[in-house]
Amino acid sequence: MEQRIKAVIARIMGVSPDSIGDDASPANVDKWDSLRHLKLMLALEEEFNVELSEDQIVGMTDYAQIAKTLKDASVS
Amino acid sequence: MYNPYVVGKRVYLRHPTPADVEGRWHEWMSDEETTKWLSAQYWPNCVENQREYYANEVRSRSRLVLAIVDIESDRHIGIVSLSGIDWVHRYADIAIVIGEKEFRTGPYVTEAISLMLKTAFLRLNLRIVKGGYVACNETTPVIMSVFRFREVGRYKQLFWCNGAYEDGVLCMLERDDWMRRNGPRAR
Repeated sequence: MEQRIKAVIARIMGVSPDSIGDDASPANVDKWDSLRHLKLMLALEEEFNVELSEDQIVGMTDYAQIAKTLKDASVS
Repeated sequence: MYNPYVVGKRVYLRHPTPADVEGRWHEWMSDEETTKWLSAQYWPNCVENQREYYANEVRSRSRLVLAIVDIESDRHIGIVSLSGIDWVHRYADIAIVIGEKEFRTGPYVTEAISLMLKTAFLRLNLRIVKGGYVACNETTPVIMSVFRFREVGRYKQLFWCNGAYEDGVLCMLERDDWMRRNGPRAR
């Protein structure tokens, strides 16, 4: 699941998947702005076929929180 | 936090204060970039106008205007509002402005809208929250999609925008749909 999350992040941010580390966040991925962040939320819902609540989306601020939220949501 | 009305993780919403009016609020509503997609873009604003808006509109019961405040710095960073509240048919229009530009890159917009929707549906017992945007606006439709607003119509070529007439897009979010997604977790 981790690699799929990173692949989605990389696609939305327009960067290489190899550049998305476990610490990836808007602070260290140049193109990770608020618009791409929102597009990322929609892309993750589509990729993992899951509907995230607003509270979950608000909490998904970086790779670590995204991975934790999707894991807790038991997506596969 | 001063006088919080609804509290999130990074921002809280509160009634605007006279100090907000005397601060940078009126400057946000003159700024070309900030007002690019707002009806406020056409005329410059001034502190006198802001005082009048505060006196006449902010305390109105047909409008809920809330200051968005960054919890960490306790700084007033923007405004989120429900306007045209119809207490018979139970709908309102939502709008948001993040005036302080350094707060546009984080999750502040998302959280402020989420808090306002929660307020609209659970606290004020509204049934429908409406929104709208100019068709050539790239950002707002993404925000609307994230919050599950659905497009319900268009005014053809309504707005003069960057040298061309553009459609005005109308969208809405119904409480039943919002509750299905957020209800059990929001309560």
